[in-house]
Amino acid sequence: MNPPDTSSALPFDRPVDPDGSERARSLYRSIVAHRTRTLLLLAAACVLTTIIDISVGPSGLTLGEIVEALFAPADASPAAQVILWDLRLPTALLALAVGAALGIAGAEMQTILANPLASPYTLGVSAGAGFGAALAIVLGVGVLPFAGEYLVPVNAFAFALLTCLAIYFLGTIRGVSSETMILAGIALLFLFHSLLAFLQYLASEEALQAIVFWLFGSLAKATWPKVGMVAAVVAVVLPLLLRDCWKLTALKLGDERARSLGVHVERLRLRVFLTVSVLTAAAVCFVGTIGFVGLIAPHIARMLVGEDQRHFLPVAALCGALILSTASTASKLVIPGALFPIGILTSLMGIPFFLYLVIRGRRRYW
Amino acid sequence: MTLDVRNLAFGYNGSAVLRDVGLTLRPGRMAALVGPNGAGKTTLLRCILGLEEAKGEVLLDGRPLRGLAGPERSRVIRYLPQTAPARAALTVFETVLLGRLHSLALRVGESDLQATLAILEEMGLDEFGSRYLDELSGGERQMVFVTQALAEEPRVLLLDEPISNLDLQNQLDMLETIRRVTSERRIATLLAMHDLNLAAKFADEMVVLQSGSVRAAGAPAEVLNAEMIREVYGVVADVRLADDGLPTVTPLRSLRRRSQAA
Repeated sequence: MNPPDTSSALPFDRPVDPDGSERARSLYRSIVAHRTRTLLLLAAACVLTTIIDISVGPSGLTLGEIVEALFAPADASPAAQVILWDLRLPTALLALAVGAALGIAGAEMQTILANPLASPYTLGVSAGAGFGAALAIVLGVGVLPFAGEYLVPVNAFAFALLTCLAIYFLGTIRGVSSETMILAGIALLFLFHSLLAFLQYLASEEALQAIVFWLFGSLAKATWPKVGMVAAVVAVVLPLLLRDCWKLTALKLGDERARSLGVHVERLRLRVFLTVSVLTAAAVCFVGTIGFVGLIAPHIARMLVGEDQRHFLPVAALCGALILSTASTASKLVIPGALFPIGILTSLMGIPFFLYLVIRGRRRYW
Repeated sequence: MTLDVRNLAFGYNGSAVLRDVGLTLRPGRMAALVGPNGAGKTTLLRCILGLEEAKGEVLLDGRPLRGLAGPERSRVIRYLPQTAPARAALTVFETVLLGRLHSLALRVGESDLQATLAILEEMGLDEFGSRYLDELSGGERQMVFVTQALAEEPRVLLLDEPISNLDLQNQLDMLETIRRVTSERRIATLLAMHDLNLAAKFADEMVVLQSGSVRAAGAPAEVLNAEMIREVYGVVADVRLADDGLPTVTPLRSLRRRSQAA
């Protein structure tokens, strides 16, 4: 049977173009080129905000003193050295590392759960961490005895991870569907909020203040080891996720479509969820509740470069880093001489911007 | 490649969905799978693909499909599920590229790029390459997913109601395209659909599924008759052979009591 002539019937047919192939190939290159440009631009922006971040602070060091302390620490005054190397640099770098971690975590949660509202905050992971921190603050006991200054973060980390595992196991009961996992996460969010309220009710005034301050989210207790730990987790997790980049991209087309391409959807969802759990726990345990970044950074990334995970993931990381880095600078400027809690600022600055993007955005991705 | 389905049976929680299903798909031939809602069309496609654990045999050129590893199986057999139009911030090019999932690495190889371009051009979609999926109409988007299914040159195509959401012109264009690639690329195609007239017009064979069993199979003119339609669909229909030898079905009324009262 000869195929009938369809040239007039197909809406996509057009006159044969001999260099169509070359044109289409360069088209592909231009798609990728735009994304690479965006990636580099964001990286440059992060460097810029970090420079501003370390130049600003309550001690009133001049730019010259900062530069001197940065590049020739031996010549700088001891005060400038301490301020830059022990306070400002760890704070600025922790902002970048945590922002990147939350951006990646939010991006993958939204991808594997196929839901635009998924993030470490909305799934109760931050709330779990908050409860763990509060438990350590109020009772002075943690999962790890003799943890010293790490008592609170270790407890926060453990409870964040515990929350993720609970979501995971509740999710597996009914075939690892994204709906079950989201509902489990939201149930845990409310559970931990009420447990937290209960602890606050019991707590002494001093402990209550500490809890509230932790929940605000703060970079004030940044140290080099903390920076190193968060950065190390990001450095391990990002390549792991990029190994699955095409499968994750396929997953965004829907479970059944991904299955038809040969993706083992349930296995992929669980593997990525566990990976992201560790990342989230590491990110929130040192800085408290800055959950908003994990929600908004992936959305900005999606609008900038689309959802090809090879670009989407790094751009989501950079967006998160950029937001927290900017917020870190702003937190030092709001009340001169004092460090305003960064969690409050991130939300206050981010929400209008986010709403603007949502309202202006013409694309429909969900 | 020839795909043989033999004695396929499947059930959920003890109730049978498919019973003793047998059918044969031949290269270059397009078979239409028809039947009422709930007859088991989607389940049958998923069982053939191995997404559901069914009893019975699925043979590819005489060799059990189960013996093929996952990636190889999804390369040989492609399934186009009937799902809501995907909303993803992906370009047409990337979406079709995803059809070659198993050979993709972080850096996309030249052969994958070239194969994707070739199939885009063959399907007349190359100018859409850099467009995002949400910028396309429903018909165009469906064509993109059919193209994705062809990206790795499958030998068997299982399509679940690919024209359900399309307008008349797009339905014709889509079926025309599927028939063209089926015969040009010697693919064995099984296409679940509802429109009996379009099935008769485009398919080489029809398979009628009723309550999980094959009620009739063969050339459209043999399969389609008033008695079959009354028994399978509960509809009184006028079936005539047109001048070109194709049967045409004109549904007259439903035999369900509720609709008689109305």
